[in-house]
Amino acid sequence: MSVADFPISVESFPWLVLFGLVVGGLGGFFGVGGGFLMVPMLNVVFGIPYNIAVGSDLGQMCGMSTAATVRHMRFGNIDFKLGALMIAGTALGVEAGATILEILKHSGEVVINGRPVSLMTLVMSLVYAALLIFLGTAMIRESRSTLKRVAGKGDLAVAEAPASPVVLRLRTLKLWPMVTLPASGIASISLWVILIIGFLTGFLSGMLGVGGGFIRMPALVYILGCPTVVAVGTDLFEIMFSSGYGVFTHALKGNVHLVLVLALLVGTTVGAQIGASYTRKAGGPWVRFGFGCLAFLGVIMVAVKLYLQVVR
Amino acid sequence: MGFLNWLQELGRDANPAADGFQASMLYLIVSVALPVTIGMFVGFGLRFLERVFGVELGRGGH
Repeated sequence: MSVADFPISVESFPWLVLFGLVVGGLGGFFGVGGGFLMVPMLNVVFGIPYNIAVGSDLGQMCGMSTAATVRHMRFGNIDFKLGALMIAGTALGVEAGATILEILKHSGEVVINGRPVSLMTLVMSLVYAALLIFLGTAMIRESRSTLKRVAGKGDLAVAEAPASPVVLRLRTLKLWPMVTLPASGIASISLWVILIIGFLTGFLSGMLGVGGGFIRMPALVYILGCPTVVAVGTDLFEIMFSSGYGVFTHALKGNVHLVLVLALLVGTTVGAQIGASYTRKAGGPWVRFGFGCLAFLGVIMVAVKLYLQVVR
Repeated sequence: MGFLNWLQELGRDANPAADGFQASMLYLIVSVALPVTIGMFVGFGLRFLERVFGVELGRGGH
């Protein structure tokens, strides 16, 4: 079965463009790739096989993040030094996570509703959903209290998330070599802290089989202390490379549907420009609040995916 | 529709079910180059249009 066995009809083209516009807008605004929404929709609504949906989604993600990166670059929302260091840690983490995943693949199956479901898929989906619920709840609570605190008296762009004592200790850890990140407003931080955070977010992303933007963006804000708009821009810069690598490996397996990628790109690249343009305008707390709500949409998509596996 | 047909045919070469499957070099290059080129084109194209017309989309006041 090749990608050519799934021709994209002229009738579905406008729907794909419209869908791409929405996903691209969310991606550019929040600094996520949008795979959590795109892959199940392509699979369920358009009947694209899962492997081709994933490969083609990575193609649109690569183009969308490139367009959004150009936009965020214009507004000075990208910390290139931090992005490059995070890529190194993330790459190692993704490999480690994927290796563990391979081992867990042989963990057997459970029968739900008379149908066999991979135990690994079930556990990973539940872990991912729990993580999204935790992140979503924490971000909505924090952003609401920040919005109340600065109501009518502060600049939203500088109303950043407060740090816990553990996070503050991590940020001030004096472990050589120390790096300066002027674009993020970080005077001095240990290189190891950045690499370890990159590794952990990459590990989760490799193990859960997701893009990682959902985990990395909050990590940049809450652990490293990046301004939210810089976290969004830097995350998209990183997604550009990770999805570029991903689309190449999927192309090797023949999973990239070029016509589908083109249809999606028409919408996502334009949507990403619009989304990225309004990140700074909305201000950090509103971006974090919206991101928290988006995390719950992610939970619904995980539930839909699991449900379809059980009933199909 | 010529370009779309060409893209569709390029995918036909990449048949993972075929014996000794190996994705064609052109398919690999286009898979990566297509998104990057369109992303760059839209990103820098909008910047160019903004410069020409003297407007700026969603700059924000912060």
